[in-house]
Amino acid sequence: MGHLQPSGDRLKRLRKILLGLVPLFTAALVVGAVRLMIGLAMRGHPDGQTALAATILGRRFELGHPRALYLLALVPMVFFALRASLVDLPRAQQRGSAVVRALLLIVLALALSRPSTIGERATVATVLLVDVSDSVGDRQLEAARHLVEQVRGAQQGDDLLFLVTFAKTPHLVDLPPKGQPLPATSWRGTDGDGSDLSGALSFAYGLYPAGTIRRAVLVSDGNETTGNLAAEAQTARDRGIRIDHMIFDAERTDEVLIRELRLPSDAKIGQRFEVTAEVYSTKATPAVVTLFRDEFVNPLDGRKEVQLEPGRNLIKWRSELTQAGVTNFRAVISGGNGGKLPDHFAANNSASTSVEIRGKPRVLYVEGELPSARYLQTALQKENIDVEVRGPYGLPTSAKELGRFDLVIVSDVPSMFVGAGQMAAIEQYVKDGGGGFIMAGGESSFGSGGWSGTRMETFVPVRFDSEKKRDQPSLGLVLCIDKSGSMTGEKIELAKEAARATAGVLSPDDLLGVIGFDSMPTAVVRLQRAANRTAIQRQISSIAASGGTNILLPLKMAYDELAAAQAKVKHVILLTDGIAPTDGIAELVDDMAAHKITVSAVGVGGEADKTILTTIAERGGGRFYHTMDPQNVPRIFTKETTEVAKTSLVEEPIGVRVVRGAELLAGVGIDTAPPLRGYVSTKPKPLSEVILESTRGEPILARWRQGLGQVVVFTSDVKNRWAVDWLRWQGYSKFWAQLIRSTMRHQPGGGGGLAGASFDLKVELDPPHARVTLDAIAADDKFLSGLDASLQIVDPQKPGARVADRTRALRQTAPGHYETTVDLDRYGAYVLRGTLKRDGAVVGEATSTLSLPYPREYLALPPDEALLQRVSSLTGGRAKPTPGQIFDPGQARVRFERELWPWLLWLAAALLLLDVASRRLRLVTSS
Amino acid sequence: MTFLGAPLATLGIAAAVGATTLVGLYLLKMRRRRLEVPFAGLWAQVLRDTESTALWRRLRRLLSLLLQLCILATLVLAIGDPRLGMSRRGRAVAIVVDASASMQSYDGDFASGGGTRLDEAKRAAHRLIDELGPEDQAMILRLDARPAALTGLTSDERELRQALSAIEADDTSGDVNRVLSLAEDALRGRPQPTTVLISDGGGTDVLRGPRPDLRYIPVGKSGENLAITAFSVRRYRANQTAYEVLAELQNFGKEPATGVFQLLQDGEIVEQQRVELAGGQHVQRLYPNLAGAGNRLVARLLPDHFDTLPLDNQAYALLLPRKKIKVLMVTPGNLFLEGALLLDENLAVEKVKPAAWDPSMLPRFDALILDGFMPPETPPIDTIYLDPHGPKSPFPVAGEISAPLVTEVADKHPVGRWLALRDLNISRASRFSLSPGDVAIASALRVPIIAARDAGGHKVVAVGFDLRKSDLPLRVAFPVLLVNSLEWFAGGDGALVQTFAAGQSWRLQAPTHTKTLTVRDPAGRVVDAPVFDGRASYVGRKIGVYTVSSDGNTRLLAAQLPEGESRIAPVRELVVGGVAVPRPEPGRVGLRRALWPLLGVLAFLLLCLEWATYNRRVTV
Repeated sequence: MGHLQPSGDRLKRLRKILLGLVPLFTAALVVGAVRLMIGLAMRGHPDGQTALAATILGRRFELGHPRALYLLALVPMVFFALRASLVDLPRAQQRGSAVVRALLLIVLALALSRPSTIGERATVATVLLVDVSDSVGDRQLEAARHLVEQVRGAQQGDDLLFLVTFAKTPHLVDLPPKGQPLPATSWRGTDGDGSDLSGALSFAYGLYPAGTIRRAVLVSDGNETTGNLAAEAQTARDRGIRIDHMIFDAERTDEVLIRELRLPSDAKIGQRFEVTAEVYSTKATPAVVTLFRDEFVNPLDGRKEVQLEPGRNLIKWRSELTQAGVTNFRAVISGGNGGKLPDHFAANNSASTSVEIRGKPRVLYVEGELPSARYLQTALQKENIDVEVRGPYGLPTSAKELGRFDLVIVSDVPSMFVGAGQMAAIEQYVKDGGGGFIMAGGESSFGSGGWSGTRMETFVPVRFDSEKKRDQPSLGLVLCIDKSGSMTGEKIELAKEAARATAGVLSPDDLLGVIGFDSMPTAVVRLQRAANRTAIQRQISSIAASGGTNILLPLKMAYDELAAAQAKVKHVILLTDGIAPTDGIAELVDDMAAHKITVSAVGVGGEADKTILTTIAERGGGRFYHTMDPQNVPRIFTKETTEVAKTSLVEEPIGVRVVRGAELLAGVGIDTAPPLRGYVSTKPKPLSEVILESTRGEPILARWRQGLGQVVVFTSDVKNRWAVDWLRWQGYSKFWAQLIRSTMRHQPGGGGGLAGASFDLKVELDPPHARVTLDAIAADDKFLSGLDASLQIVDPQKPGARVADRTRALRQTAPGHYETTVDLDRYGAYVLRGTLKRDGAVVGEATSTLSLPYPREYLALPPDEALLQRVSSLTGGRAKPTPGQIFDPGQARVRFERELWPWLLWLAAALLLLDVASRRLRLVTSS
Repeated sequence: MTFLGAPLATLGIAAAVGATTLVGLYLLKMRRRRLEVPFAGLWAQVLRDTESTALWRRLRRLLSLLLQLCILATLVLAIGDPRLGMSRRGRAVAIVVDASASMQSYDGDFASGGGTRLDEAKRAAHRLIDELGPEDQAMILRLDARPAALTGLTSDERELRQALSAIEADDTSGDVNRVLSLAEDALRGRPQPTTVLISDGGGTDVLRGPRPDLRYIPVGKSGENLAITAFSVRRYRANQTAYEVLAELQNFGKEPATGVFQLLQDGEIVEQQRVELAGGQHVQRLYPNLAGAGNRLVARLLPDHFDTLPLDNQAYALLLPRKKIKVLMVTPGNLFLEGALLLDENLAVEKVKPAAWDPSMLPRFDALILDGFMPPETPPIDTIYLDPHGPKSPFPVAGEISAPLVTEVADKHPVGRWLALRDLNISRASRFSLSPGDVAIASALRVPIIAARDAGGHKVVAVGFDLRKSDLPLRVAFPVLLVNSLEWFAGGDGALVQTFAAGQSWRLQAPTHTKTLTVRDPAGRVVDAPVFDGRASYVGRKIGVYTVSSDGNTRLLAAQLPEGESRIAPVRELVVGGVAVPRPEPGRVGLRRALWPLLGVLAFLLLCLEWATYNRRVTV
């Protein structure tokens, strides 16, 4: 047996250890089970704060902190402790005591898990929303106060009542305890110039305690100035709030107001139009209505004494606009006959509106003969066109500079005054900028101005070469070109080019000779028919510079050649850049002149001997040119050539006839126009549109489109040489004004830089915001996307208000659609201007006006019962509820939550006493 | 110390009764167990030991009593719901939780649990509630396009937490000024008002100041976001069967981002392109001349890498539905006119010769086009007159103009909109004389040659020249004029684009005699919107496609994310009126924690302890 003892002890010890593990094992099991329960119950509760709900006996119970149930894991310990108990009480009583203790712990754990029960109750919480804005009269407010008292009287039991007064912002009014009357303090605040019904409603949301039936009663005239009650009502409905309403009975207060001031949309400068004010009055009364135009009383008719009838009155003024830009009109109403107006609000006694008028067309007029510029200038100014006159050098060099003008007229300017850059600028201005360009004739324009073969010739609708006139003389021309060493380089090359160009300009029957000279003359081209152009030009190219300078010998050689030639006009052009012996030259030139051989002289560079060249030109009956820039030489040569050839000028009285009816001739009476005394002969290009032609069948007025703009040529002149009879003709100014208006850059907004494109600026007013949209559609139905769109808000009452902060970008939201929202922080009349740019250049503009003369609160609108009715019907409310109905819960019940932990703690305290009693009293006796 | 639970008197009575009972029970001498022993000598020894430890035994009993009293006191105290606090006057705190679209960005603070910015904001709000003092009151406000108070000022922590938990982010932008005004209104007149804005700072650039009681808790970390910032579709004006789509993509982050852009029409991919955008770059994509039967367009962006805000990776647009218009055309034969009308598949055109004119046909049609033909009676229907003449002309003809050039177009009038009539060649046109209310759509030096009238219940458009004697039919302006006129007849407002931004109040046009519109949002929730003045107001809070139905007619509309919500870079430092908004001061007031759970746990532990000591006879 002895050997069994130790093994029995080991078994006992093992058993003891195992038994010791049992409580741990049980605790783990309990924890696991509770965890599982909580886990299952909390599925779908990401928050973890509320959980574990169950319905027991038709009642819903929830555990707020189910984790506390883990404490239950300790309960089995109570029974395990019993096994090792040393307590001297009967086993049954001990077990009983343990049960009580376990119960006590369970109850405590339950209490800590925050149990609550969900019940239903019918406690009504009502928020009275009382409109105290300025549109609500004092008597109406008194009625509202009375109503509040009535509602307070109907309050029963647990029912709750809150009072919120509102205008622009809501205020919670503290209500005195039941039975005490409302304090007499006024409900009106300082923000009465607006009504925000939806704001008041959203403020009320926060007042309802949990577990109440939510009611709101709107006491208002229903006229909201900001917010959107109808939309907010949906939110209210989603929150279970029933909105009843009581509309203020219409209060008969006298009121006179200007509701609107209207202008015709197509007002133009210098044209009279009507301004109409829409005035409302509640009763017949005399009144004075004054119209202001930009702070001054409207000059045509400003002050009007009127007898207002009840209702709508229209008051009209005549006015006109004298200057471009934004003009503000404001109408103000005051009492008539020295009396006062029967009026309640002063704020609505004036209204304003603005209009923007595009300025007069701006025209740049570049005239070759400045003294003669005044004729056209005066005529155009009479026709409301701004003219800037410049001399032949005054043509801007960049399209940007030209962009200031709607049209450019170049009249009788020789090509040598216009550089290639200037021509390119004009081309860009017309093609890309949509500008208008008119080239008017004169001795120095078109072919006779040296424009042949220039970029300009390809740009205008006519060609400058002309039919050889039978009565025009044939020409013999000799060019004497200095090829001395000083001409080396660019000078000689340009001189050669000039000679070649001369050959190109001449008619085939004309004779041309070229003499190159240094100290000795060389006949580079023998005098021959210009028809041999290729050969002549090749020979010219062979000239090379070297040696000194002698003028006499080449002149002599030219003289000899021409004297023998068969030509009606004989001319020599001498080109030199240096100083040469002068002996004998004057005599030779005199001799030549005697033989009808004329000589012109061209000096290049500062070294040229001007004295002798001038003498040559004067005595030779020719012209003297001096240029520092050799680049001008070719153009001087062609001008000089056409000058002597006179091939393109027609100088005789010539009638004008209409080829094609055009709107620009409407009302001009072109049939009555006197004959012109001359013009430059040109030929129309195939795609051009000839409107007027001479009786010889050559174009007088022709036009065509170039890119976005139009180019017009008028081959006669605009001044007192060929058009001298036109100056006295009454249609002169109208003809030019209409021609300019039809040719000039189309007004942005109706076309802008993009021909035929449409721009539409729309404003949707939704105080305190305005939504502005700008649509841009090209003439070919394509949307104009990717433009830089901006909106400028111009406040005409604030000069200089066109500042950066009033300019905002419009965002493209759809093809050809740009939009933005503007906050209206001030009242007044604004002009909105939308501008569309591409690569920095304006391609389109559209304007619109926006008028918000005074807060809508002062429009004295009739009560908007429909809005309140709509809100009530949306939320299941009713109109004009009785105080009893307001607090009547009806079928409505609201879930409310009752926390059970205090009851459980009470139970725990009771169980504690029971527990102690179960131990201190021997309840079970055993033997 | 404040007691929010049972009244103190009740607690006092309970404590007195309980304590008396306990002491009474301990005073009772427990009846000894009767035990018969065979030999008293052994017991004398036991008794001697017992007497020597009597004092100790008494102490043990006293200890037991004390423990029980402690437990009782703890329980009674817990029932009283005591709170600790140091602030004498309670603060009034408005907690504003931003729930705008950008708060759906997945860059919440991972240290505190991650998730979206809204999750982070809620945790911050919970911490604020933890810190409230016993007399402090707080309220929760939600910041989105239509901010609202979710609770009143209350000290009920549970209500606050419930309101907080219920907040979900909308696809709207936040109206910060409005929510702060709401908070200020609610706090007006309260002691120590404080508004705490918990937000990523989106939309705060419009915040007007100064706001002295404002505190700011920023949330969010990342500004990296690849987004579709604009997406829309628009029909061409003249060729209404084709349309153009605009999509704008932007990389709001600093790092380059890549992805795939897809354009879907009725669920089918019609375009797919790879996009590579440098940091901050934005691109505009135009897809012109698209055509197709489907009218639901979806733009989808599939970024190659994690995108902080997935919400703006898709956008929705719809082609405006076109109503079929039945047109009767009375013409001796005009290929230009027929060609233009036949092109438009939305027009059901029936052609009759003037000889076959029969007014009884009219009720079957929506509009009438009279090409040079003047019926004996003015037709009771919306009519386009081409070259009207004679005494029945809607606009009396006062002579003719030859070769007029159009100089003015009423481009604000629905009929004149988008008409490019410059350089139109007409051989001759009638001079219309207009009555008050008539509109000259096109004029040649102020002489109306195209006019419109809306009076007498029917609308009229008259073109004062023969189409065959002008080049109008060869121009884009011709179908535009026809479409404009027919749409004007049909009462369309000529809107070319319908854009609805989530969170704004949408004014939905309703058919006449309709009382309510039923709107179904992208999540499937159905709301009835009552119609008023032919329009219903509705606030859609989610982006996507909505269905609007009334009396069996159904149409769709698409809502877009409001501008700016894709710009998610959080504002760490909020400056209002030149002053930086401080963070809420931590620990300025004592903890307001409910103490009873602690007391409950204490009681629980004491009970366990007492049980153990009792059973091991440490206490008796």
